[in-house]
Amino acid sequence: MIEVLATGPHASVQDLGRVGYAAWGITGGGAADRGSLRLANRLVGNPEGAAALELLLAGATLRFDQAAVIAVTGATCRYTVDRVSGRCDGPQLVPAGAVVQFGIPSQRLRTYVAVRGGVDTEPVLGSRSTDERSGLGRALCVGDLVPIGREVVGPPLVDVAPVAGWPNEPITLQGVVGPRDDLFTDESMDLFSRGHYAVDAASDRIGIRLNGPRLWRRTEAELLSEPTIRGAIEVPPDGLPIIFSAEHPTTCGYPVIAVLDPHSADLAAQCRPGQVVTFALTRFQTQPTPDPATRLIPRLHTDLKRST
Amino acid sequence: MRVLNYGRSAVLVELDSADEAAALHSRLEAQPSQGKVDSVVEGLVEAVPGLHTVLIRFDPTVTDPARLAQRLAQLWPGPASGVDAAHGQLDEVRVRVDYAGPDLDDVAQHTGMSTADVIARHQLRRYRIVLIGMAPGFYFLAGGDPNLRVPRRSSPRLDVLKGAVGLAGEFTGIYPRTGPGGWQLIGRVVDDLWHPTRLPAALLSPGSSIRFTAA
Repeated sequence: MIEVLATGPHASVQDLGRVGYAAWGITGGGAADRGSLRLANRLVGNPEGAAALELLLAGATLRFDQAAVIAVTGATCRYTVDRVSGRCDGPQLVPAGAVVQFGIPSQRLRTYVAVRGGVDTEPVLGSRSTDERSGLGRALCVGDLVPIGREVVGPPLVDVAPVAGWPNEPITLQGVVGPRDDLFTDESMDLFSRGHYAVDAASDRIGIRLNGPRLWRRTEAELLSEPTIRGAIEVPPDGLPIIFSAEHPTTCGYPVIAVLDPHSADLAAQCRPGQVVTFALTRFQTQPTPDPATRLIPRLHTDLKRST
Repeated sequence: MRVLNYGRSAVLVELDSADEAAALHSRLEAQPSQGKVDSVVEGLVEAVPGLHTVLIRFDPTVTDPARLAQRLAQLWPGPASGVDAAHGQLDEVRVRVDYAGPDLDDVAQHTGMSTADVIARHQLRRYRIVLIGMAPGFYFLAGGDPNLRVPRRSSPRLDVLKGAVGLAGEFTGIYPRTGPGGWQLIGRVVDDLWHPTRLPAALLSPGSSIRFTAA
């Protein structure tokens, strides 16, 4: 068990989210920064999608009633294990009874704490993710006891993972133009691809609001609500884009001007209010997408199936 | 049917009507999905319905938009046979509303009616649930009075209350929980319609008929 002694600004259990319930309006949810969650899990020998703790601006204090191996990734910060400084981006032993106290990260927003064996709260609709907007689970509170599971895929093999530093600003977010870019004026598309945008303080796990050049549509015609995904950038009539994060609505009624690549959606979720971002957008090349090397395994698989 | 790129691992399929979109979605739902390579639509991860659209998330190591579009064309029988059991006839449910929404005056101004007229007209028709989307248990209801068509708010609110009844375009929507939203709010449902940890979580499912009455 992990006992929560202090939560910091916001602490929750997150994994890679829910797949298959969007038709009921239930969003994917899960870790806002997927890459950091995956890394934390790999470092302790967990399956990549195991549940871990997501801490907003860290600041939490946890007591472990059993010996554990943890990994701290994402918004890395100074932390102590029974007052001895702990290691980030690598496996860290926590003795039974130890208190782990997190400081405040100097960069990024969300810290991930994976524990070997995974966080083992009760899954709801196939995921342990807390999705407060959907009413699935709640943020962690002082006094909560978080169970530790036993599912591992191997021993921790790496001492410290090399992680790219926080980029110098402005941060470049990469993505693909469309699907509704044709609704915007040429001038707006130009402004969007070259402009600087600052992350607004009203950003959260649902969406990252941006302040900067306003983007105007060619027509006033309203769009019928369309399904959407994490990383999609919608533009409401006020012209200020919003990047959808983990708990995005399953559909949106404003046009989506571009869709970020997953890594850039992770980066966006780590941006603090005031952070300046720019966009590097490409037109999606329709063919051929997959590199032959990455296709080899599924192909082999299919061929084997066909031959039996 | 038009297939648009939606990032690197999804496509947005545009159809001509809500019924067509529902039919394509139910066809894809019937597939063994979850990214298995042997599923009927290779590489399909998830199909998400919209009003006239279906978003398809795919595994980019298995398939690509061009191959997906080809497969969808084979699968889609066309608009004629597209309208199927997706919207069956279900019982009519009466939903009580307290008509005191913050955008009532704006809606009245936009439609050129008095607020009393807006309230009266909103109760006149029988509505049908065409989609649960946006948020868990957010109902899109079609069949409303065309005179009550209003645009969305220019900037979404951050704290629309649970049960709020809003208007946007040809639709009426009901918000299941407190959260952000851009519809013009005319009232609030009195009863609880959504149970998040129960599936089906909704008291009302796609196809249900609704009539509003002032509480």
